[in-house]
This record gives sequence, structure tokens and C-alpha cells, in this order.
Amino acid sequence: MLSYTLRRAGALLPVLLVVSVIIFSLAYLTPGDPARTTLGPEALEVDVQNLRDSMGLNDPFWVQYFRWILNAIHGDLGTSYFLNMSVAEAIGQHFLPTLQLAVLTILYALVISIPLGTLAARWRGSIFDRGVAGFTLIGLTFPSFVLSLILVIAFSVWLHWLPVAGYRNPFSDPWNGMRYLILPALSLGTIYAAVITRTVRASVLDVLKSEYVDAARSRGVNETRLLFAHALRNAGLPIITMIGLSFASLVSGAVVAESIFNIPGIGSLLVNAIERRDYPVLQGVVLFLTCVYLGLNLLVDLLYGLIDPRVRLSDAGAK
Amino acid sequence: MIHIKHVRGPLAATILSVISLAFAGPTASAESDALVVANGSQPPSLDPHVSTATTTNILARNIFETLLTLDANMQIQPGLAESWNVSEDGRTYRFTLRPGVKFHNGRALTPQDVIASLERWEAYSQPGKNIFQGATWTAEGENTVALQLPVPRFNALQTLAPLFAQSAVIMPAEIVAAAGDKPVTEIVGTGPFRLVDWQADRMMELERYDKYTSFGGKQSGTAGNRTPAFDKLRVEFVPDESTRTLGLSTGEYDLVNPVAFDNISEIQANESLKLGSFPGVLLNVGFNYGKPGIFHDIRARRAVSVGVERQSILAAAAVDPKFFRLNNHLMLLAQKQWAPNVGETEFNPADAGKAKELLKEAGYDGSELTLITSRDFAEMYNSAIVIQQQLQGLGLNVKVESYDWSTFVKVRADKNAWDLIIMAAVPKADPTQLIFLNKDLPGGAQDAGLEKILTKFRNAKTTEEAQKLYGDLDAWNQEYIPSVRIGEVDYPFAMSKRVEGLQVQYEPIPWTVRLTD
Repeated sequence: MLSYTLRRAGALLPVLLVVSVIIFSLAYLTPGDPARTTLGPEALEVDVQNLRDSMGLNDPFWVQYFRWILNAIHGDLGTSYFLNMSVAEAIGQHFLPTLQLAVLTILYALVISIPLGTLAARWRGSIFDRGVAGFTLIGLTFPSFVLSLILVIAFSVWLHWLPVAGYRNPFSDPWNGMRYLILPALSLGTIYAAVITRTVRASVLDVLKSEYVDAARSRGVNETRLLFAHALRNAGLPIITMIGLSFASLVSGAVVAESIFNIPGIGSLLVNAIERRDYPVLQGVVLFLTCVYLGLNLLVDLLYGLIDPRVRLSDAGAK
Repeated sequence: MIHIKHVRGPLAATILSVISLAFAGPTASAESDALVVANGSQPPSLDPHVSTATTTNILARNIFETLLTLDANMQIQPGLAESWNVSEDGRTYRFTLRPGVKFHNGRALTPQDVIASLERWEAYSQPGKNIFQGATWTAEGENTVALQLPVPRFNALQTLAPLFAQSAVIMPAEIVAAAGDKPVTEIVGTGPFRLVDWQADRMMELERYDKYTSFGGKQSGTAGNRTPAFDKLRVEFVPDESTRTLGLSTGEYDLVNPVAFDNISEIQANESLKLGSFPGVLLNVGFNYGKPGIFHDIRARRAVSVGVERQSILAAAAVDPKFFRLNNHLMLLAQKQWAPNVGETEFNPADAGKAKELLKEAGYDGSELTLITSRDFAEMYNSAIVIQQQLQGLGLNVKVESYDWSTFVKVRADKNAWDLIIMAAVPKADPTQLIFLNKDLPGGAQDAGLEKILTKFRNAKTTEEAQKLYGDLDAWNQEYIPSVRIGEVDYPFAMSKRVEGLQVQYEPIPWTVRLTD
């Protein structure tokens, strides 16, 4: 298991290397100039060139790339051109809100999707099942920003229950920290709830067809227990995959939701970095998100083994 | 990457503002002793010595102060300097510092702080370099600072007062020395507020400085009594314009700056909100003098000038006539000290026939012309579209290329990439600093006549002399047409009814607000 984990982790290194070249080239090829953006619209050409020199932007591509990647390997992602802080600090500051929102969103999505999906599978073809199908269809097709706006109008403008937008630190202000995240989590979570509900329903349905379920039923196992303890657990793999993927995509920045609800998360950091031509932040964030994504994928793979002993992660099984 | 502005853009804004403002009721979520401001942009730093951003300057003036201030009539008044005098030859100024002034770290203000700050500002800021090059600052005794200029400057005092950008603010000498040409990281001023917390992309929290030494006298502009009547100033950075307007209508924010032109009518319809505005930009159509082409011919430039219909261009840019006006002179109409004394030429004849005739004389061959603009500023993009249509109507084959701001600035630097440009120039204290008269900017007009007037202007000894030269400059501008003046556009801001007494100098001044509940 350990050597499998190490080997899987090792296999990620070439991926990271390729990604790093792509990230760097993209930033390098993007039109716009950080020196010009920093100095403002009225800066003179001579000042811009001087700043470009001191920023190292006039060096050849490969010199710039190797300087960046060598520093990155040593844990130094550079300093933001705009924010007056190191890239690592900027990521640290902006990752907490995103992580909170992701966790809250997934929790909400699970609370909705697990019972809905399981029961829809149990009562397949019933009115309830059709209702769930309707919900998932709406959830999947409804644009998230429209849902966000509807929620804001209902809960903030009409009812005055929740704030329109913003973010409060949950450690210094837990009550408000929560209040500010409810609407974004609801609007994002509904989409993920729809996706996960479909997966849950399909997987549970598959399991319910199998013989051991009939066997358990004939042994007199209580129907609820059969459904949630036996069927759901055995339907776990696709569900875990879907949750893992959803979580990974949430953590890599829910750009639209963060922007509508003014949450200073990693998604808005990325968009702002692009608009400000803040190359170190842009490259650092994408590299960081790549690592997070790969890490979560690895975690999901490893979880397979814990949930389903049939998936062998031994050296022999992996070959 | 999806361009977020396009996703959430006009549809979202319209749905939100229409529905929300129709149903909005009163809330009391804003804190009673705090002014909560939603700002559209955030500053790259709080150091106006090195940052050219106006956001930096406007936020920094809550924290840092200048030797001089400007009252509501833009007249020079005392600031950190209680009094001053000028030598007869106009080259030596002596400033007597206000006693008892303390920095936010508790240390008393000394002449050394003033000297260190102003030497740094002189070295790194545009106005410092332009006007104070070669100046020396010395301490005389405990509370006097002497300024020695190499040549007399009519605008020396004006430039030491608060500016639109890069004000000559005073910081502690040791912080200035440690920072060099990088933005200061320790934010310690003498102003009415001190910085408590600053979270990038989120908010800035300031608190009333309890040992603040006010400048005394009646509050007027940035002059006079500056002690705030409330405890806390929180500035939230809210880039999404519909979110800003919505937050104002639910009472989360007290003041929203700026407001999108599209949201104005909804705000006007809401009885619990008020609108204000400040001069935003001078809108011009610029020509590329760095690239050979039709616009090197004065007849082609004149064709554009007589052919366009400016009212409809401005209406596209700023929607409500309250927020735009025709102005064919170089400075804002509100800058009364630069009132033009040349006759009004036929400014907005919108004479398509004459324009077509001029283009024919200039020998325009129908080749394609590129007009560049940026979508990041609604007034730039919207005016570009109308200008394109009008120029096409005159027979000019114009295509519009629109970029995000960073790319726009980069494309502008490429002399071969464009023929026409939408210039949204921020107001300046005097005309020599206007960007559309700057020969060093990409595509800038190169004319010996202009340089002669500008040199004389910069060396003017008195304001009277400068005002006379302004007439020459204005006449040159109308004769040469380096760029086609369209008019001036104001930026609107909005506030709740609990915000009273707010004064504006360049932008809203937070410490002038009284909060009523």
C-alpha cells in the first residue's frame, strides 16, 4: 500500500513538470505587460523598460522559466507584482475562503443528494423518482449565476435574512463567517447536488439488482438498513469519485460565485491576477491548483481501497 | 478561462438592480458608528509617492497628510504647514510646521520627516519629477522647512497640496528611508484615520486617530477641521457593480463608489438613496502620430473634429446629461483658474458635408483604420462604438478593436497597431501635465510649436503668466487638433440617506461625513 502510494505520487512529477512549462508559457504569451500595468496608463516607455529590466522580464524565455521553476522547487513562488506580499502568502490568504465554501457546498450537496438519490433508486419509476429527475435536470441546466441572483433577491433583498455579498473571517467572527457563506453554498451546492443525486441513483440501482441484496432481503434485513447500509455502501465507488471531482473543481475556484458574492477566494485571486498581469501570482496559483487537483485524485484512488476491498492496491494488484 | 465580465455582465446587472430596487426595504445592518464604503477598485499600495493609481492616493489621504490643503473653492489653505512665505525671487519657500502633530505611532512630526518624504516624492512621483526637479529641502530650527527651487515655479504650492494622484504626503523619515523606491509597507501617517487592518481583495479597516491634531477652522474641502464624527471607516473592495448597488439598497454599504451609469435611474427611483458625482475623465479621440497615415494631414484631423456629433457620443458614454458636458478646452470647466480666454470656435458643428469634403481634399483612399478602446471602462467602450458609426458615416473605414485594460495599454505602445484611440484622461492640476499633449506617450503629437509653449509654461514665474500662456496653448490646440476633444464625463457615486454633509474633492472625502440614524 505504501509503495503503491509512493509510486502513484512519483508518477505525478512528470505531469507537474509538463504543467509547469504550459503555465509559464501561457503567462509569457499573454498579451499585456506587468510593468506597464504596474506603472499606470500614463507611464513613459523609458520607465516601463527600466522596470521590465529590474523585474527580469527582458530575459529570454528559458532563463525566466528556469529561474521560476528552481525557486518554486525550493518553495519560493515569488512575490506578487500587485499585492505587496509573497505568492505563498496570497494563496494562503485566499485559499481559506475557497476551502470553507467548498466544504460547506459539498456538505449541503450530500445532505440533499444521498437521500434523494437512494430513495429515487428504491422507488424507481414512481412519482418521487420523476420529481427527483426533474430536480436534477433543473439543477444541471439552470445557470448558477441566475440561481445566485434569485437567492440574493429572496433572502437578502426581500427577507433581509442574509447579507448580499462579502466575507467575514470565521475564526474571528464565526456567526457572520457562516452567514456570509450560506447563499454562495446554496447556489453552488444545488448544481453539485443534482450531479451527485444522479450518480447515487444510478449506482444504488445497479447494486439493488444484485443477488446479495435479494439474499439479504430474504434473510429479513430491515429495508432502510438494506438500502442505506448495504446498497449505498456497495454503490460507493462512483459516488466517491463524483464527490472527489466535485470537491476538486470547487477548490480550484468557483470563479462566478466568488465574483457575484464578492468572496476573496482562490478563483477571484486567479481572475484578478490575469487582469493585473500579475504573472507570479497567476503561475503560482495554477501550479498550486494543479497540485491540489492531483492530490485529490490520488486521495480518491486510495479511498477506493478502504471502501471496497475488491480494489487491490497491493503491488501485485497494481500491475 | 471564461471572461467573467461577460458572464455576469449586463443581464445580471439589469435583473438585479431592477428587481432589487423595486422591492428593497430598509435594513439596519450597517454599523452605527462606522462608515462602510464599497469601492470598485483596490489600491496596489497605500504609497502615493511611488504608485500612480488614483485609488491609492484617494484612500491614502485618510491616513497621510500634506503640507498644504485645498478648500472647497480649490484655494490653498494650511495643512501640516501652519503658515508659509515666499521669497521675492519666487525661489525660496519657508513652511512653519503645525505644533503638536503626532504620527500614528505616537512620535512627533519633525522637519526631518518632511524633508525625507518630499525628497523621496520628488525622486519617484510624476508631479515631483516634473515640478521639483533640482529642488533642495533643508531644516531651519525645530519647526521650519525651507524649500529652494532652481527656478521659480508658479505651481509649486499647488503641487504640494492634495493632488488627483501622487500627492506629496508626509511619512516618518525612518519608514521612508527603509522603503526606497518600493511601496512602504508600514502605514504610519498623521491623518484623521489610522490603518487597523488591510486584507487584499477584501477590505481595509481604518479607525479614528484619537490623538489627531486637526488643522482648525471650518471644514471645507480637504482644509479646516478634519476630525471625523464617526469611529470607524471600513472600505470593502467590491469589483462587481451590481453587487455594490445591491449592497447599498439593502443597507450593507453606506457609500458606493463608483456607480455604473446603467444603475443610475434605479438609484434615482429609490427614495432612501442619494447620488453624487465627481469629475472623472476628459474624453478625446486621439491620432497615432507614430505611424504614417492620413491623420498627419491637418485636413483629415479637422474632418473628424467637424464631422462628429459630440452629444450623442457623450450620451452613450455617460447616459445622463447630468454626468457629461461638452468642453472643447484643455482643462475641466470646473477648473476655473484655467478659464479659456480664446474665443469659442465652432465646437460641435456635426457638419458631415464639410467633413467629407476635407477628407477628399486630404486624399483619403478608403484604407482601413483601427480604433482601439477598452471594455474595462464602460465610457471608453460605449463612446468608441458611437464614434465608429459616426466616422463610418463620414466615409472613414473604421474598425474597433477592444481589449482588457492591460492589453489595451500594451497595444497602444505598439506604434503600428492602431490609427485612432479613445483617450480617457484623468484631470490634471495644470495643462502641462495632460497626457494628450505629451510627445513621449505612444503616438503623441510632435510639434515644435507645442514644445515651445509648454517650455515657457513650465517656467512661468506667476500664475498670471501661466494663465496667459494657457490662452496660447488652447489656441494652439484648436488650430493643430492633436486630438479631437469630445467632452468631460463625471463618475457617479451613491449613498444612503444616513450619509450627510459629504464633501467632494476629486472624490468623496470620508471624514466630512456625518452619520444620522
